[in-house]
Amino acid sequence: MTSIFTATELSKRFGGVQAVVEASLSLRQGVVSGLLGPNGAGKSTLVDLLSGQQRSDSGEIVLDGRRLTSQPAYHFARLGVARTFQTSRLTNNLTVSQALQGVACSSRHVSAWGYILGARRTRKLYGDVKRDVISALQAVDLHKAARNYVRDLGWEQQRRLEIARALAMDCRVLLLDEPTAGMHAGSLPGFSALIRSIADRGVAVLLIEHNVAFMRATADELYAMDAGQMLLNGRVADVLSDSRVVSSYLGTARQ
Amino acid sequence: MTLDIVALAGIYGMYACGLTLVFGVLEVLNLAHAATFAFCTLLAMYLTTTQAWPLWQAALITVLAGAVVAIAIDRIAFWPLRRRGAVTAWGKHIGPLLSSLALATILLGVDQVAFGLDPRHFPDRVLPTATLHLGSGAIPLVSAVSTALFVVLVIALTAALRKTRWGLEVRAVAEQSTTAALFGVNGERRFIETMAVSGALAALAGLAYGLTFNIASPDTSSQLDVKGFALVVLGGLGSVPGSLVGATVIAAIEVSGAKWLPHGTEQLLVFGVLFLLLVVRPQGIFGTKIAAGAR
Amino acid sequence: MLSFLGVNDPVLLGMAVAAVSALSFFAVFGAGQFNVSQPGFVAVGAYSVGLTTTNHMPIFVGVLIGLAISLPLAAFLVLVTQRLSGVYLAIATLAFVELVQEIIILTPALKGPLGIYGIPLALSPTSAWLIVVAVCLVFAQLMRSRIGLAMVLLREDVIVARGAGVNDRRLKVFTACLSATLASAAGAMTALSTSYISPDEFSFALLIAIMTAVIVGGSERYWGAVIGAVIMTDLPELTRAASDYRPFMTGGILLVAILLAPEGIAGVVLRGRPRLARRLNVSPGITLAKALRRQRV
Repeated sequence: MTSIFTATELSKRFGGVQAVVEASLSLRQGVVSGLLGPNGAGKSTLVDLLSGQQRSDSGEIVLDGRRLTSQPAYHFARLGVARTFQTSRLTNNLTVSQALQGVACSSRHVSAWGYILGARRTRKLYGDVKRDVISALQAVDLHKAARNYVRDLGWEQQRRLEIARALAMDCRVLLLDEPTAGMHAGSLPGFSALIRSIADRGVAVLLIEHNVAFMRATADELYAMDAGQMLLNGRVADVLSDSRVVSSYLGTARQ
Repeated sequence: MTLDIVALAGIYGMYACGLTLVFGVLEVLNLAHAATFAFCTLLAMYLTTTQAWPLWQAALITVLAGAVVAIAIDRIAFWPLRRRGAVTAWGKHIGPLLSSLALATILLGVDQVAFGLDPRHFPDRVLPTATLHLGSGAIPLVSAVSTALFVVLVIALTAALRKTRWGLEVRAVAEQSTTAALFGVNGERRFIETMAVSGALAALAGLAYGLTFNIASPDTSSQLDVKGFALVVLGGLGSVPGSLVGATVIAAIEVSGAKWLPHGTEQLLVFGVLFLLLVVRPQGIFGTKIAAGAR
Repeated sequence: MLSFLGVNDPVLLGMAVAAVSALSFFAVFGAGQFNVSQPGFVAVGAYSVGLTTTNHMPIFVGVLIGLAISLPLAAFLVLVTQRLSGVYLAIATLAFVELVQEIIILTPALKGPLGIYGIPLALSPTSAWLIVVAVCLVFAQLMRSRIGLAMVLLREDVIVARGAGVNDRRLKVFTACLSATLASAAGAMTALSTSYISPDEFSFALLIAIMTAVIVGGSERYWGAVIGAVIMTDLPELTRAASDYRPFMTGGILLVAILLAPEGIAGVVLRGRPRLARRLNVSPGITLAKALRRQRV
């Protein structure tokens, strides 16, 4: 499997803080790549860079041969890079279906004037969007809540909505920023299966997680990060047992 | 000319100080501040003419009234939204702004009903005529006193906010009232006190304005509405020392503009400066809260 | 019956103008932009028509000139203030409104504070309301299309909107230009229905009236703006006798709206009656509910 999404030597500095230092990774279709690292390691900033929400100070981002570096965020989105947010960014006053329709239409950039003028081909496109939204909802088991307002959803439903949003975009790359935060243990296996099924559809997935067991069950390979730098990457078991990763998480053992 | 600027800066300064204080602590742009200002001026005029009160008595009551009105504005327009954690599509700053606008309109109605539509004045016996002669210029005593008072208030307020426990609590509540509550700070009390101070400042500004220009009507507030924003944005929304700077600069622009430019152009200049300022440096000189601003 | 509600020709005209003005504010507010520059553009539209018609030029020339000035000006305004939001954007656009007012007052060619007299009364209530209906039709389609959905996303959360592929800068420019076009049209309508315009009309007070209409009527739907405009214009007529108390009424209604029903009349309708809401809460093409039922979910 060739890698479709490659980031090379990304860096980001905020004032006096170097949040990300020459980090590189590459994501492949159908593969769930995990990203591990203690709080403050720069993982969320890296996701911001990978999704275009922040512009990298240096380095390159390439998707399917297209250079995405220094493009605005909406460009990333239209080419199929989707992300979830650690602190749920919600569209509280919309219903679930409104939110997803909005996302689906905007990411496909379907013609607005075509719709207004009633062009048949455009109307059909909007119909396709409808269908994609429904299947996205079904995939995360939220179709029964389609008419609820987003602010009325429970915490777990909101996390699943984040995923549905990405699916509604028909994404090629999915960046998941701690998607299981706050979920109760019983839902985790189902969630793991959901992420795996997304990858099986051909999406390149990046999974940031603190829950090591979840990571083991879901990820095919692992990256480890600390203090803004990419430490290593490789097979899940190998990375988890590497001494540098252990010490960055747990600190060095006192003798 | 410098003394004219000084005189005007005193009036503008007290007004701006009250407005910026509310923005800094309650995170709200109080659109009823101008209405409070106008109400107080009219009240003082009414008390000295129709009720024939002596000036000092009217002034005292007016300042108290200003504080009371401001507290009422908080309780009616801001507190219900604070309590609810007003979550609307507009964000939490717009709701109180709009409700203060509603109260401003209502206050305008009160002005019209209580004081009539015609312009009012202070009676002659009440108007201080003394002027202070400094160097080659002269400044009415009223203006000198009010500007001096303003400077003293700014220094006192800034010192209070930085050095006293009360000030510390106010600043804590301004940053994050829920956390402050965890430390035993009575947020509501501090908010009420802040509003009272801002109302008193509006009243003082109104008194100074009335005694200097000797004319006021329910319309008066509309003059200061948008100009007030220029005053506070320049120094930085939320910064008390900033209000001194903002008031002085705007007063300088107005006075020198009126002197050297064709009549009326100085108003254009003030709004032009406000616009440019927001484009280039929205946080003003001592800007503290950029939360609602530049991204 | 209409005359019972205090409605006659001038009032109908006033309502139509108010509706178009309210819709111009909705165009930006519905996208979450606190861009309150509308009175300035109403002034541009009114003065363009006023000056051309009092100088023996046809009406449409005035309208076109108004648009030709408003559109680039609106785009410029948005681009220059693009980093501002919320309170700061409001103040900046208010400064713009004041600037427009001052420029009109100070420019002799624009007849200054005295205003322009003798504009032909060329607008009938019927044509005025036809304009309102036409604008509503445009909004109906627009809000269901990608642009309308993007506006709603932008209103809710900029980051989510960008992450969904919305070019927020372009959308801001678009909504601002739409708003300015409608405001300019409202200005033209004002000039043609009252035959006299002066700089005082295009002030902060006009803005308050526009905002009140949109908020009371409901800021989440375009038809809320129309409802709000009709009600707020009719109110002074209904309560002729108590004209002294008008500020209490307008202020009071706005206050009640903000405190008790910030989503406005439209919001109350949508939330309070789910079945009615589903019917009015139109989504692209067939409603999602029907589609779900068809799929037997």
